[in-house]
Amino acid sequence: MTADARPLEHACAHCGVVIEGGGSDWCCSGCEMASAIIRGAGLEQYYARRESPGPRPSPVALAWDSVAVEQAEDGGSRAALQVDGLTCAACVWVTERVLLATPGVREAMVSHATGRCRVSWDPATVDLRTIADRIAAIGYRPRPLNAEVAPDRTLLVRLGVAAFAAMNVMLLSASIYAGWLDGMDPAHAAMFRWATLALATPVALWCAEPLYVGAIAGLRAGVLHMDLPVSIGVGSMYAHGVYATLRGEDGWLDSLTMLVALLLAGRVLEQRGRRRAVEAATALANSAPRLARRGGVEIPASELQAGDRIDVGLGEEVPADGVVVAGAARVRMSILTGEAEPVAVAVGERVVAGAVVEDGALAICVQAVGGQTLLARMADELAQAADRPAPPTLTDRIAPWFTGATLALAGLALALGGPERAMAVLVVACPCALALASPLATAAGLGAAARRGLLVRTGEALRALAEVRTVAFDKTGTITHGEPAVVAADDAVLRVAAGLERSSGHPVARAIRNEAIRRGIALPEAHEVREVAGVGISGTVDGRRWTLGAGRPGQVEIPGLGAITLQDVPRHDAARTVSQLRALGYRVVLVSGDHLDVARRIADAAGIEEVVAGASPEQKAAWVRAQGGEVLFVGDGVNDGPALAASSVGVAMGQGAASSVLVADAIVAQDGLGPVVAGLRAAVASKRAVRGNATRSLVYNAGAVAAALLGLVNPLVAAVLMPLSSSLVVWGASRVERWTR
Amino acid sequence: MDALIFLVPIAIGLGALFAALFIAAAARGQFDDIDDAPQRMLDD
Repeated sequence: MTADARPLEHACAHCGVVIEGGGSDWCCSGCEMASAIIRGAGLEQYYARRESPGPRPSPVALAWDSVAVEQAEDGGSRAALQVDGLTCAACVWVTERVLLATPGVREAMVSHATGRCRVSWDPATVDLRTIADRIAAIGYRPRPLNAEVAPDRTLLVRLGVAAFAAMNVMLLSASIYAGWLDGMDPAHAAMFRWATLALATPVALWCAEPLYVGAIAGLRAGVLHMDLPVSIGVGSMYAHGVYATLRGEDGWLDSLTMLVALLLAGRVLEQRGRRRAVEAATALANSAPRLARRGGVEIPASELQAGDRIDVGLGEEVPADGVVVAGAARVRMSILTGEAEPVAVAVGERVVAGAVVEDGALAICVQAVGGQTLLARMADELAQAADRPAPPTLTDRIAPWFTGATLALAGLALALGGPERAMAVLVVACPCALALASPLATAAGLGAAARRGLLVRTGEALRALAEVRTVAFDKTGTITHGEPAVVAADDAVLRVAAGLERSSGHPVARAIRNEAIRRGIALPEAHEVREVAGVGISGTVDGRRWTLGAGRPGQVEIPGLGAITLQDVPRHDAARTVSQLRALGYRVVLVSGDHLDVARRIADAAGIEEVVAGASPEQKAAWVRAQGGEVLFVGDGVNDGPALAASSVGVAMGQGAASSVLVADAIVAQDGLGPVVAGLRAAVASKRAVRGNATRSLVYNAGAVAAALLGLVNPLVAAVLMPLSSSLVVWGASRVERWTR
Repeated sequence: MDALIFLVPIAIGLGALFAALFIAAAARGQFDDIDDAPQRMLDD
């Protein structure tokens, strides 16, 4: 490209897209507005500090009135939003400051880690929609957050109490053990023992409650849970402690408090590891009704009624099921059917909520709204199908043997050396390390997967992930982007088209712009741009009038200049992900609702040999069940929901439909498929760590029980052995991160 | 050594005070989001 013929090129002052100069500093009015807001609030520093150019603003048409708003005592309102697109600290900073500069906003806090925004405002001055629009105006994408899950704080408090008690009991017990050597004043010894009992009582009766609850729940369900031998150990230690203290003897209460504190620490870690995934899922599952246009007025889609006539324009989502009464358009229904190619609809034909108008415009007579739409009914069915029983863990499988052996050995010890020795056996057989083995390795595995972009919701899902043999991918939106991309076009036609589409928000415009940016073509300025529904977009570029409209299927064209071919293409890392999976020994299958030739083309591009095509959502689920073995299904739309629920591990793409996220066990939180491989690696590493930990702790328990049977274990020995065996398990779990690499 | 009769309860009492502070902090959500604060520090 020669510079002499064209004006100087420069980057858009907000989003960084290269444009031809002469006109304004910005590529579109949205970016100009974003800059004006940011500069108007005195936040120019944002442009110097941000790590990547700001996102291009696009309007959000959501009915914010329906979001749960909390009323504060001072008359203010408070709500939580999820903000997407925050990539660096400067993004968070500018979002907070822009909100604070909005009249009527009192407080605004955005979390760096989760993108959660808590905002409070004066309802007399401003409303939530205005606040959300301000966030959208600077380019970030706000989403409603109806039910905010408060993390379970009780578990943390239990851990705090148990740790406090354990440390003080350790101090007191050290004095008692020292007294064995030097002798001790009986009054002191009595005080120390009673103080120990006082500290251990809340630990045994309250802090350890989750263990008892787990054991009882296991018994009810007919499963001998690992919590059972632990509960027996804790229970007998405490009973013996009370008895011994009354008689002025030494008990095992120091071991008890330490044990409970360690087990609770393991649980807190596991809970923390899961939290991000749970939060991401709830955030995605929340959605406000979209806005609908009825008689030229915007109203929440939830207020629509059957018989209403609504208008749906270019790039918009159909808000309700209905029949087309005027206009013609091509709509993309990939969210429902999994087919990427838009379908032409004309007067008299049905359209469903969730379909996106790719070109043209429609007037629709509403037939079904809200929960009655096909989309909502499918989502409901999914939610019911999502419950599946948790597979038993390795330690749970050992638990019955363990409990039986412990009780038998305690009986043997009773016969050999009386109740004191039986007590010693029960204490050292208490599988602290074994019970910690699973939560710690699980927490490490969840963390390792999350750092690489796969948010796994539960420890059960992580364990199921380690057993997977077959990885099945949906096509549209999973292997591919689910949106068209330019596959063939001349630079000249692309340049003019990108200029015409500079401010447009619909997928084809995005694809054309992205391709122009990728090729390093500066976007020219277009004047008198007009979008004509059903025809296309026209405007003046370089002094000539052009029209961009639909050409042959899969093409858009500018008459007199040329055509642009668009196709749904595989994600940038699809082929690499597939080859990595195959190298790891997984069977990789493409399962698509599309025609065989389309599916075949994408499969070839991604390097997948096995293809199942033309499958309806139910057929996909049936295929998954027919595999019998452990199948990992990766999908994105409502149409993948049944398959996600039927698979042993369902993985949803983070940008997918809310309802597929509801039934998924894990969520890909990055752009790309790489996190799937990373998640599988982390799950296998975690399983290996659980195995190693279980072996080590079983060896420890066996040795300790043998010693106890011989009468070699007293409270001091137990108090030293227990933390030693536990640190062995912590060391084992710490290797998960290294194995995942 | 008789001082222990006072010192031990005092020590435990002090420990309990801090445990109570921790519980109060946890109950008010101080530890709900522990990843945000370290990043926020880098803002200014």
